[in-house]
Amino acid sequence: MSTAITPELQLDIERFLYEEAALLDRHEYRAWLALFTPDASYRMPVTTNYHEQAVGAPPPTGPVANYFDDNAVTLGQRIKRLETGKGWAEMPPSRTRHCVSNVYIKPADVAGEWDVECCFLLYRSRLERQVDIFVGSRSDRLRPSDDGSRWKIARRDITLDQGTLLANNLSIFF
Amino acid sequence: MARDGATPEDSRRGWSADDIRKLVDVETGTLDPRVYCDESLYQIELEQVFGRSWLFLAHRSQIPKAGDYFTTYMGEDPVIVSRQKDGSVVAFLNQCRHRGMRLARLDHGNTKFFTCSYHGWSYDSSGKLVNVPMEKNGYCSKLVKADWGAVRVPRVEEYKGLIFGCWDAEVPSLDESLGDAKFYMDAMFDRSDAGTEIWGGVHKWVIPCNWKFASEQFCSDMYHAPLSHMSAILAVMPAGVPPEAVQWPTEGLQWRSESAGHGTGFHTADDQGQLLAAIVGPAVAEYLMASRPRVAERLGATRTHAVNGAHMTIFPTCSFLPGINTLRVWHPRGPNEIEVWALAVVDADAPQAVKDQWGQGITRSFSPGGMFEQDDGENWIEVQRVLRGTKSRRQPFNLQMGIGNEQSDARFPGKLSYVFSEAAARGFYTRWARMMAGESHAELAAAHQPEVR
Repeated sequence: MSTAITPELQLDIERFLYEEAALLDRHEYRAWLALFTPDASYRMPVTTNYHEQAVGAPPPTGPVANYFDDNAVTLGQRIKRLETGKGWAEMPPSRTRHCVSNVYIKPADVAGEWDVECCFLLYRSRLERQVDIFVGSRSDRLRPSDDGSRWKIARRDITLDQGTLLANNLSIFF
Repeated sequence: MARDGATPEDSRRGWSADDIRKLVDVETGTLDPRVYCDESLYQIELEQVFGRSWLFLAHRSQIPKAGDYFTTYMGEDPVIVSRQKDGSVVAFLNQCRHRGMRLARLDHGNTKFFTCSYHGWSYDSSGKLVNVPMEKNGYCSKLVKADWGAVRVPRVEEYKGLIFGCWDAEVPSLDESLGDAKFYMDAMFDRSDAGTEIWGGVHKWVIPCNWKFASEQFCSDMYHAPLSHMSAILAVMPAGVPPEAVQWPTEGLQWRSESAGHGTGFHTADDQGQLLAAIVGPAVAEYLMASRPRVAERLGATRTHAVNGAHMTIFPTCSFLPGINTLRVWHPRGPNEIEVWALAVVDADAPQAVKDQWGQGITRSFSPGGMFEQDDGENWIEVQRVLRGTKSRRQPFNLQMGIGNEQSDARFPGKLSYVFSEAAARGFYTRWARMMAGESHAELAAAHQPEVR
């Protein structure tokens, strides 16, 4: 299988990411979850300030706390929570805009799969005047799919570029 | 620093001791909401409450080795908590004595010296000033370094792995200040000789609300749980359980400290860990159930079987949920904002797979992205916003639940109420008002008067 990053592949994956973002912004969470493989992981580690961040130093070792450490089942629980109509942090729902850019594709270590990096800017407006802006990067593993979505997300690692979270919660998806 | 009731009136910014006491009326069960939004009261709080209370600093396991340090806050004051060569723990203001620069700007680390990045004054791990650039040529060797050490937190004490500090040298011991709270804390922190440790790092996030909303809720408020958290309960229940079958338990007790402001509440009916399995994971619940015989030998059957789904606050700002095992501090950031610093606590001698699932389960339930935690913030923020109005901040809040219904229970020490009660909240705010009014530690040790009937 080819590992060439063709313009067609670039366009196809970018379009997939845009469609995925649109599903989130339209609150079509079940359709969004269907884009993940059953064995998918969805993680966002906590950001810390530490010495070894000196340029060129290796990352820290040991267990890392996460803001998200989910799989397809627990993502489904989060969606079920929203569907109860009693999840007050998203009732009424936040208005979001998921902007995705800097899409950089590399062949994965499994033939036919791709590691896709992108930057995101996620704007959230909530109730009367709450505004949160989240900026960071995502590292996705995309696996080909033959069920119409073309691709499935097998892994999503999210890096949020913020120390102390300035938002009161992370009740939305990244 | 005001002690022995000697607070000068001008440091109370127009609030007399009597005015402050009137904000909390436990006889009628009413609370003046200005306690949540008045800037002057907040400044008094920083001195009278945060300057005189035992405040949680760190868990022992966060700084295991000599030279390990963790940076945190006491109220709004940044402090460094540092492990010494002899194993003791020292805390000092995270501020250079020269021009006030923050000494340690990292979250944690290991170091022999804290060197200020401004002009290079250097302090050892106990806060002693040990090196000053240009000491000979610039200061003509006349600088008395012994006078310019970092400002020490005079009292640092530990209970079952929890390190607390207090700015007031005269405060009674941590052990005495906790009192009967220790009985309830032990159900989480003293399950074995190995004790507990922190898994992963610290969740830190900002909520635009007063610190007392959060702290009081963990102290006294089981009442909110069935409604505020129903969506999360429904979401984590195993598939096939119909929503109408999900009933919040009704049996239970609440405990309040007689004078110290601490409180806890819990359900006494044993659900065999079903809810814990749904919230933090089946491996954790299985581990907790399997450990019951050995824990019962240590703590007795009551705390092994009859303390379920507990919430607890050590006054003023240290809160935790035994079983789920989140531990957090509500750092005040003005009257209208807090920083939540939350930790995952696990049994130090649990299998690694259990520890990992525990940490993961806490992340999914009680963290900024946690399915349970999200909805708490929503409530506190909206109350705080409503209190911007002049009419809304003049309506007394209702704090009447359970007045006249205190009870005793041979299994548990101290003042008890039904699990759905606000007795612990009344105790919390009474402690607050008494500290704010400038009562001395000797006066504060006496039970609240009038007692909640």
